[in-house]
Amino acid sequence: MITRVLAVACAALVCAEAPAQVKHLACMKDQSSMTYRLVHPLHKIEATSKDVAYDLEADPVAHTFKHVSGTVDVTTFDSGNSNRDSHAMEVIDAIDYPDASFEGSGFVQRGDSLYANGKITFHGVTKDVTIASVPHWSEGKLEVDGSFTLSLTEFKIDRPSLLMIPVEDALSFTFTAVFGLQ
Amino acid sequence: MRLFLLLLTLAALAVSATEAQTDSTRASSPEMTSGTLDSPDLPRFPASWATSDFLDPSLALPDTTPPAMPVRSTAHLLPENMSFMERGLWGESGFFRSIGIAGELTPEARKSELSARRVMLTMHQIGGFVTLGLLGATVYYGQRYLNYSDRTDRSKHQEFVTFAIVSYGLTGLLAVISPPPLIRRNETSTTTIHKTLAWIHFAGMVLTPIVGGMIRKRSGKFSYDDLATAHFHQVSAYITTGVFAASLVVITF
Repeated sequence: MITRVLAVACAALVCAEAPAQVKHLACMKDQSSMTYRLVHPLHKIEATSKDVAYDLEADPVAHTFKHVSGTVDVTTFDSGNSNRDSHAMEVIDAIDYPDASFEGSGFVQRGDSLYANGKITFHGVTKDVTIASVPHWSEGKLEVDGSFTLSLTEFKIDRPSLLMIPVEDALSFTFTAVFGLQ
Repeated sequence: MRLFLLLLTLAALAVSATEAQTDSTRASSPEMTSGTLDSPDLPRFPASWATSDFLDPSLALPDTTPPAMPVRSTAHLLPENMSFMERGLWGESGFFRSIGIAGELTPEARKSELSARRVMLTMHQIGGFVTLGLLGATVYYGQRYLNYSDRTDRSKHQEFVTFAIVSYGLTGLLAVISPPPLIRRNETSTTTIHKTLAWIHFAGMVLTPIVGGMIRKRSGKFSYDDLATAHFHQVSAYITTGVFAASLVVITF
């Protein structure tokens, strides 16, 4: 009798401490992207990069997240005007800092929204940020849509100007990261 | 206990015999190598040792090799789509590099060139506004001279013609000889429209003063032919100024 009780207790303990099924989810690059928006008094600028490498460790069963990272080659942003993109590369010193990256490992879920706390490195400057996003779990894939805003001056970037008028300080990003669950 | 010791001894003997056999096999096998190729006197050891893990990692000296500095390629320092002028002046073996105005193509040199490009293009923008003002004044006094035949208007028109041509030339030169950008894609954008319009107003800036120089006013009156030439000059000037203004405005979109 004592043996049976011990066996059941051990089994229960093992089940209770079974590790969550955290998996490394592969990014579907062809469906993922990142867009920045910059506002100038004369017009708004949008540039998109389809060359973003997202990396995610998550539990696809419990829908929980452990670690996320993303890296984008800043020279791949295309606003439809390469002269303007080249100007943007000049002001963010793309020769010295060709990549911008995010590493996040603290997650807070509030309703449908997921907040990832982490660090962004951009223009050689690293800052703590919280990125708001909405994960959409579906059959076979996870799509995460999110946004965040940075201050150009906080990242030591001189605001670019057109006709001697500088752009606004806020640099807004939206992103879509798609991961396969297979 | 004796049995256990006996078994242990037998096991040790068996292991050492197996190792000795393995070593003799290695010694006779072609994978044997010497310490170095040129020093046959040095002790020989099996090549497979080089990849074995027989060394205790804890005894290894710390790796003091400095981390490799990131190697920055010069492959993307210049855009693939450079104009004929840009390639000739700023290419890897361009004119400015060969005479020493620009240094060898390195990331540092390109950063300096991009700074220079920014200054030149800012001056190009300012020059564009100044030139537009001068073109406007030139057209104004030219129109007044056609209307009132006042010689003062004519001399002011000719003064502004000189200023406008010099300002236009310098403004254009700043753009033409500026270092190339980092990125240039095949696309239709406001910049490509700006450059297309530049070819049109450049033609106008060449044609209009030539036609203007052909006008001769004799005895205070235009002859029939000169009047026709003056009208052509007038229309050409208005179109050139309009296209120039459009090329300036389009860049803001």
